[in-house]
Amino acid sequence: MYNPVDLNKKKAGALVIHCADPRFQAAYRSVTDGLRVYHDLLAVPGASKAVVDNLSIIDYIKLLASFHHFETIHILDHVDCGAFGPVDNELSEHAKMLAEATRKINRAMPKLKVIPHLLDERQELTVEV
Amino acid sequence: MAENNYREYHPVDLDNKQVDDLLVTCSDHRFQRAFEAVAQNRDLERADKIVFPAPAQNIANGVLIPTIEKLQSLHAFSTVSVYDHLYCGGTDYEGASAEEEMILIHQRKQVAAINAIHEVMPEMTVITYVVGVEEIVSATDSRILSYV
Repeated sequence: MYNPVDLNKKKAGALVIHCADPRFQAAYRSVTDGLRVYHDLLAVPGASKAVVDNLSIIDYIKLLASFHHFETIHILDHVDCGAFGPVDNELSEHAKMLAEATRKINRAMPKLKVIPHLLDERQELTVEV
Repeated sequence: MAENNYREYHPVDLDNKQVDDLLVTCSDHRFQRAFEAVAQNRDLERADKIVFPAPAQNIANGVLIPTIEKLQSLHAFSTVSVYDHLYCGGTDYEGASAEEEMILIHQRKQVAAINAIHEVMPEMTVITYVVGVEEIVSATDSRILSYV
């Protein structure tokens, strides 16, 4: 039915955190394919906002890191996100949330590298955090 | 808005918000391709998507229920599909190590997940699978609640 799963391949190349929104799943897949790494995945509404707002999500990231030993986390936000609600400036609002999510992860897991992403309708945007 | 030369993709239709399905799968990188293959076979390529460690267990214990309720209010899906997998590091196997025992534990957790969803969304159809190394090893459908 599918290619057999290699249970011995324990190390993941990265953890990807993205939103649940069905509109952006194909776009996320396009970006993550470009990373060219097998990655653990967390899909939760709001992505960076979930990391900031959800008290327990850091524990789940630690759990995954303990199993699969990734050293990089990619956080993929998208514009027009229902979890963010209406915003005046997508770029600045997401930059702030991505920066806060990065700080929260780095406080808990200082050795992990966090790479932020923001996707609009057509392409990934530059976001400075 | 600043732009760069990052990857472009097929344009997203921002107005197309409604979906029929929510798909909940596990985070484990080893099973992502298998989950995709199972979902594609069931025409679940366009769905709300939650990916979280030990999905049935974390629905049954209530962790994911508020997220499912929030997404349902936004996108009005009528079916939730939950894909567990064998050898899941996040699932409490209660000391079991044989595949047959793991399957039984996943089945129990999936029935508990169905009940937890039905407590807050009684009309929701819930379909669950246990994804094995080479094939689906268990399936449950809340409309008939039987194992195959």
